[in-house]
Formats: sequence, structure tokens, C-alpha cells
Amino acid sequence: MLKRVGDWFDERTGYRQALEKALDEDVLGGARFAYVFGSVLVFLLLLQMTTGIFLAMYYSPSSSDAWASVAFVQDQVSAGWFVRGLHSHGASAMVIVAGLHLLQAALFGAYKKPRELNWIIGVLMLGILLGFALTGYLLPWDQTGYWATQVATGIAGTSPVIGQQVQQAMQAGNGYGNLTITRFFALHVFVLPAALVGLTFVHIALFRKHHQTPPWWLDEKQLKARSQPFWPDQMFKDMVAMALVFAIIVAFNFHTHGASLDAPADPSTAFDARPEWYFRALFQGLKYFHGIFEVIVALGAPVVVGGVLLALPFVDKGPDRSPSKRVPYLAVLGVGVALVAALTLISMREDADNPEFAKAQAKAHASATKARELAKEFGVPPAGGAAVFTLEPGYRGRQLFLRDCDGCHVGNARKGPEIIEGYNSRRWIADLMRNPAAPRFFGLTKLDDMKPVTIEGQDFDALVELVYSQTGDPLVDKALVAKGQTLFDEGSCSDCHSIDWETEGEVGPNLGKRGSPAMLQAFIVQPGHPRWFGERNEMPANAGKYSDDELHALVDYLIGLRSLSPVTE
Amino acid sequence: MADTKKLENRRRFLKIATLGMGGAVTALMSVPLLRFFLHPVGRRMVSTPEAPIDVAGVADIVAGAAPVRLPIIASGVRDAWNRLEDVAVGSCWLQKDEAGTVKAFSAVCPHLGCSVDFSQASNDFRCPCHNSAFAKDGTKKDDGPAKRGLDPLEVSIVDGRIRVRYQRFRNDIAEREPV
Repeated sequence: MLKRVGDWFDERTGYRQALEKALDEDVLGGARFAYVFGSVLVFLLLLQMTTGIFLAMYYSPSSSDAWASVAFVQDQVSAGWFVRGLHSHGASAMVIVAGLHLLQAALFGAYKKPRELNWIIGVLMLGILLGFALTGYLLPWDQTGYWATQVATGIAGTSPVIGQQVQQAMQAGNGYGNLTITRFFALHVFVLPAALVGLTFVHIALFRKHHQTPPWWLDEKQLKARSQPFWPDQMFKDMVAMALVFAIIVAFNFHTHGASLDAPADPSTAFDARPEWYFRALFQGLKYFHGIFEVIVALGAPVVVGGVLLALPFVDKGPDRSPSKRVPYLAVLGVGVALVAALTLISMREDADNPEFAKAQAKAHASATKARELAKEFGVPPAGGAAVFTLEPGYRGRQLFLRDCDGCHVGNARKGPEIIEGYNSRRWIADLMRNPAAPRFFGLTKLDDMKPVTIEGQDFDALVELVYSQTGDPLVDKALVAKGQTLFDEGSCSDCHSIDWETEGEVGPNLGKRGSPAMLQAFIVQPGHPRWFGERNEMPANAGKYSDDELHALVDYLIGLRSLSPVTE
Repeated sequence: MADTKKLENRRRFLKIATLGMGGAVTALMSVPLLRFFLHPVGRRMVSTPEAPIDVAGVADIVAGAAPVRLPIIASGVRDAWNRLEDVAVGSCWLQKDEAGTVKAFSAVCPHLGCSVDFSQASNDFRCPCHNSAFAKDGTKKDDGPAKRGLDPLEVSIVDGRIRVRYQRFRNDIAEREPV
């Protein structure tokens, strides 16, 4: 049956002959693992194209959507992190394998006549790979991608004479925005793939024309005698290498749980970005040069590296492919590789030894986690990735607090009690009762005349519990509250305070419902109400200033502080 | 001769092993890719609001007059990664009879999902796409391909305001099955 279907197609297409022609090639000197890199690169290219196409089903290239859509893939779509991780790690694998491919070709003298052109095409393809990396890094529109790419386009902007024009062409305009991302996207998914696939075909066609570069240590006769067919002998080795590389990428992908995704790009923040690891050497190299030299190195280094590689076949023209006869040329390559490796290691090392960087990383990580949690729970507002932070419960209240309350209640220029994490917690109340005139509490106000509470032990705890219970927190010790009430009534507290909400005009404020949502709302509107501070109040009244929603948000923020542990004592 | 045989066996093994490994990698890859591709199937990628939505005041609708089309404006709508506020998710046809009873129909044609219009001339609902026709009370008229009448939406009146619970139903079946 299968054969008949095959026959039917073969009669109409002649595919069997074509397949035979494609696979039937003698590998002079025998199949070798040294030859697998090209095939592995074809495999990786297919992997990148497949995962890339699937990612494009979810990715949205706009500055307001990009991060949100990537976070959606990463944290919500089935196997999303896996597919994205394969794409990212697959790119790294491609750079590594392309490097090995180049070194193998150099070692075997594959750039020599008649294969010069194919060497040049290979070098161009390597350049395209780096173009993929550069454009792909920006697409998630996260902090790392955004800031690292700023540096890359910034370097382009320092080019002599046409720098500004080059930079504006790259980023599509005077700054980063929607057009930057659509441009990078178009390059990444249309232009570069078309160029790479096209060159791959030419590269393979020329390879088939000239065949693989055989081992230099065998003579013609030996080569012929040991030759093996490409299919299956070489293909088997290629497939072993592909499967191995695939297994490594998959294992690494599980290990890292996919590619990293930072917090959404935010131009208003400072961010200590690092480029992809394969640009680390250049990144590190630039640290050693300043002023005009920085520009020369940044633009010159890639030109020099590319130039050396492209010139190699025309400088080393001798027919002998034995490495011992090509020591100077191979030494240049070796020094280049060693330099890149050294700079990369130094860069990683410097970061590892830098506590400031570690701190920045930890902060970035926390911010990313928060942003991704919010995106998963609430979705991202159409205003863009960074707007996800506005959905955080308490965000609006905190903004209002920062605008209107922060000046008097936080920091050294305070005029009133400090309102920070831990405000109105049991601990805060206890500290206040022990030392009401401390600068943290009422020491900076006219209300600094309350005497410290000197009761000790469980009686003190009972009073704290009584005052704390006014916040409305249901998790209180009722017996302790009752005991506190008795102590309050019978002791000296009640000389100045009531704790019933109703009584007004006493020496100290009425403590009824103190710290509850209802009390905080009413207090913010009218702190000078006779129930509280009356004539002695210094805090501005806010009647009519806030909408109900705003007041709720502000009070929610204040209540949220209660369960947070204080940052300072 | 024995050597040739051995070589042939070796090559057969290599061919099978090569195809096997290639097949295994492809099969392993296709599982996550398929899951990735099919993720939106059977999941709510665009949310429809559960809660009734305020569309108009009872007094704003003239009793006994022709039905009016009102947009359903929802908040907190999830569209894949987005959270949208105040977006139109659809529209409904509202009418109030002389007794003051308010009825609402989804404007989505139960045939293939076009938006139904009301024709003043023939005093009935008409779908511009395939000429499905529905009487003013929403029942299906004989002409036209729709398999059921217009989909009624749940109406509640709170403090003189009309609230409609917006729903979408599977199209082109006789029963009313929410999606």
C-alpha cells in the first residue's frame, strides 16, 4: 500500500531519484564526527524556525503589548515556557555550534581554493546569527532587553558622520517605541530568516559541489579507499550529534525553567543590564577604553574580526592544508578565541564578585516576579507592561499617600507620627504607649504631653490588646481584651481617654474604633473633630478632597501597613 | 562476500537508528508544540462579564416603542494577556411593553453570528447577512436560515436602572447552549 502511494508520487515527481541524488554522496576518507556541525546547525535552524513560528502565534509586537504577551506565553500558555526556552537556548546553541563549525572548517583548511566563497558565505551567516540575537533580545520588551539594546543602538549612534542617521534608522525614530519593536520584529522574523535560509541553500549547494574538506593527513589513495556513503554512515553520526544537542538544550531548558523574563521595560528606572553572553566579550572590552577609543573599539572590533575572517582565504593561499604549515594563521584565530573567552570570563567574574550588582539583580528579580504575578492574576492594562504595577492591591492608595501624606509622616522632615510598615500593629501600639512623646509618635506635635504607660507584664499586654482590638481585626484574644477593658476603666487611662466612639471633647482622643477603616476615613476627613484632637489638631482637614474610591484606597493602604514588618525601629 | 554482508547489515542498522533518532526527536518536539498550539481550545481567552451590566434607566426606554440597540460596556474584561476597562463586548436590543416589562435580546444572530438589525418598515428583526428574520418578540419567522429565535438576555431592574446579563450562545443549532 505504502509502496503504491510512493509509486504514484514518484511517477509524477521523480522524488526517489531526487532523494537518491541528495543523499548519495561519498564521504572521502570516511564519515567523521568532525563533520557533524553543519548538519547540527541545519537542525537548530529548523528548531528555531519551528519554535519561532509557534511563538509568533502568541507574540504581539507593540511596545504596550509585547511584554504582556511574552509573560502570557511564559506563565500561562501550556508548554509556553518550554517553547520559549527552547527558542532562547536554541539560539545560544546555534552561536556555539556555529563557532565550532567555523573552527573545524579553519582547522581543516576548508577556506582554501576552491572553497573560498563558501567560507565567506559562512562568515556572513555568522553575522546574520548575531543579528538574530541582537533583534531577538529586544522583543520581550523587558528591562534587560530594553536597556541592553539601548547600548547597542547607542554604539551605532557613535559612528562617525552618519551615526545619528544610523541610530535613528535602527530604532526607527528619535527614541524607543512601537516602531522600534515592529522594525526589530520584521527584521527578526522576515528579513533575517529569509537571508539565512537563502544563504543556507547556497552554502549547502556549494558544499555539495566541492564536497567536504577531507583530512589533510590522508593521501588521495587512502581517501578513496576509506570513503563511505553519506547516507547512512555520515548521516548517522550527524543524527547522534543532533540528538545529543537536542537533549542538552532540553535538559538545560528544564534546569532554567525556560528563558528569563524581566520586569516590563520602564524608561523611568535605572537598570543594570547585561547583553547576551555572546556579546559579553565586546561588553567587557569596552570597559577598558574611554572617549574616542571607546568608539573606535566598539565599532572597530566587529569590523576587524569580520575582516580577518573574510580575508583569511586570500592571505593564506598556499595549497597545503596541514595545520603545521599554517601556524601563523591558526594562531591568529586561536588568540582571537582565547581573547573572547578571557573577556567573557572576566566579565562574568566581575559580576559575580560585585555585591552591588548582586543587589541590583535581586531587586530586578523581585520586581519581575511581582510583575508576572500581577499579569497572571489580573491581566495587563492596555497602557503597557509597566502599567501592570498599578493593579497591585494598595497601589492607588500608596500613590495618594505618597502625594499627600508622605511629607509629614515619613522621613526626617516629618511633622507628625511616623506612618510606615507596622503602623497600628500591636508592636506599634505597645511602643507608643511606652513612649508617646518619642519623635516616632507625637514628639513632633503639640500632642506630646501623654504620660508613658508604666504597667508591666500581662496587664500591659491586655491594654495593648484592647487598643489593637479597636482596629476591627477579628484575630484578637477576647479574654485579654476584656481584661484590658477593666484595666482601662479602673486605671488612669480613662482619666483622659474614652474608648466608645461617642464621647467627645476629652483631654486625649477617643480611642473607640481606633485604626479601623471607618475611623481612619473619618479621621482623614476631619482630624480636628472633637472626638479626637479637637483644637490641638495640626493635621490639615481633607473634607471634599477625596472621592469615596480614593478614600477607600488610602485607608486600605494604611490598614495594609499593619501586617507588614517595620523596616526601621 | 561475508564482508559485504556485514557491511550491508551495518548500514541497515545505521539507517534504522538514524531514522529512529530523527523520529524520536520529532515526536518529542511535537508534544509540547501541540499543547502550545491547542492551549486556547476550550479555554476562556476572552472573558464575558458574569455580573449584570447597567445599560440604561427604565425611564429612558419608551414603553411600546420599537426596540433600541444599546451597547454592553463591560469592565475587567480579560482578552488573553490584557485587562480592559470600559470596552464594548457586544450589544442588545431592549424593549419595554405598555405594562412596563423590559425585555432584552442579544443582537448576535443565532444563525452565524452577524449583528441583527430592527426594521421599522416590517416591524421585525432582520439579519443583514443571510436574511434571517425574527418577530418583535424574538421568535423565529419562517423565512431565513436561523434555527432558533433571538437569544433572550436576563434582565434585572435595580433602583430604576436596567441591568442585562450578557451571554453568548453557540450558533446555528436549535437549542440554546451558552459558550
